[in-house]
This record gives sequence, C-alpha cells and structure tokens, in this order.
Amino acid sequence: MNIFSLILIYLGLVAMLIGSVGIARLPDIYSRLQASGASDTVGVILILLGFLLRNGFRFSDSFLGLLVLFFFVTGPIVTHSIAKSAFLSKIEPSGSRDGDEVE
Amino acid sequence: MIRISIDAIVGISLALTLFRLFHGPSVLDRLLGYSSVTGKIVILLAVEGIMGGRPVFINLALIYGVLSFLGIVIIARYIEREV
Repeated sequence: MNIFSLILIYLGLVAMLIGSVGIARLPDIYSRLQASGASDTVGVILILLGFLLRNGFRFSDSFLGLLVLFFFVTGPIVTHSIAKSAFLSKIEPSGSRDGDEVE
Repeated sequence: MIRISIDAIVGISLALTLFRLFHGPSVLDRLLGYSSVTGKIVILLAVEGIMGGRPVFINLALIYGVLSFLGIVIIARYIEREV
C-alpha cells in the first residue's frame, strides 16, 4: 500500500459515509436518491481504484478493473430506474411548491 | 490496521443504510436501501479478496454486483408497471 492508494481509499470511504448519513436522514425519496446515486458510485469507484494502484500487479487486478468499469456504467442506470419508477408511481416530493407537482 | 479501519467505516455506513432498508416507508425506499447495501457488500468482498489473501473473493464481488444490478432494475420496472 503506497500513499496514493491510501489517499484514494480514504477519500472513497469519506464519500460513502457522507452518502449513508444522507440516505438515513433526508426526508424524501428523491433527495435520498440524489445522496445514494452520487456517493455510492464515487465511493465504490474510488476505493477500487485505490486497490488497483497498490504495489505490484497480479492477475486478479484485471477483474478489479472490470468491476470499476461495471460500477461506472450501472450506478447511474440504477438511480435512473428507481427515480423513473417513483415518478410514474406519483410519489409527491415533500414540501412541493406551485408548479412542481407530479402530473 | 488499515483493514480494520476500512471495515469499521464501511460497517458504520452499512448500519446507516440497513436502517433505511428495514424502516423505509415505501417499497422504493427499501429498494434504494438494498441497492446501497449491495455496494457496501461488494466493497467488503473486495477487501477480503485483496487484504485477506484470497483472490477468489474478487470474482465473487463481480458476480454479486451483476446479479444485484439485474434484480434491482427488474424490480423497479415491475413496480412501475404495477401502479
């Protein structure tokens, strides 16, 4: 473990922790989706990149790179599908103003 | 020492997310909590595979991520057509 990988790993852990506090505390499913979608993708990708940058290359690192690419693609897809499902189920955002209603 | 700190921080976020998974008011809140829990479990599996000296667990993390992605997308589309 060199210094760059440790910096990346702890940045990812901080992002993941802040996002989890947001998921537990925010009042509304749309704001919870925002916290989850931003922090989970960034946290997982930063931690796995930190594991990739450690000393030496092994064969299992190729699967680790594949995991990084997979999360880079599927994190926004999951967030978008849950948000679309919540919108089509007519869930109201909390504290909605005029002109912001779900149709 | 590094592994203990990583596992502790991921465990704290896992507890905060499991609260949303068990307590969430609607089905979509529980689905959001589930999608966040699987991300944390993938991290724990990758930590075990790299720092625990068992590289098979990285393949397990890859398969677990693919299957959880398929399940979440299919459940979200089913609920959308249900209403």
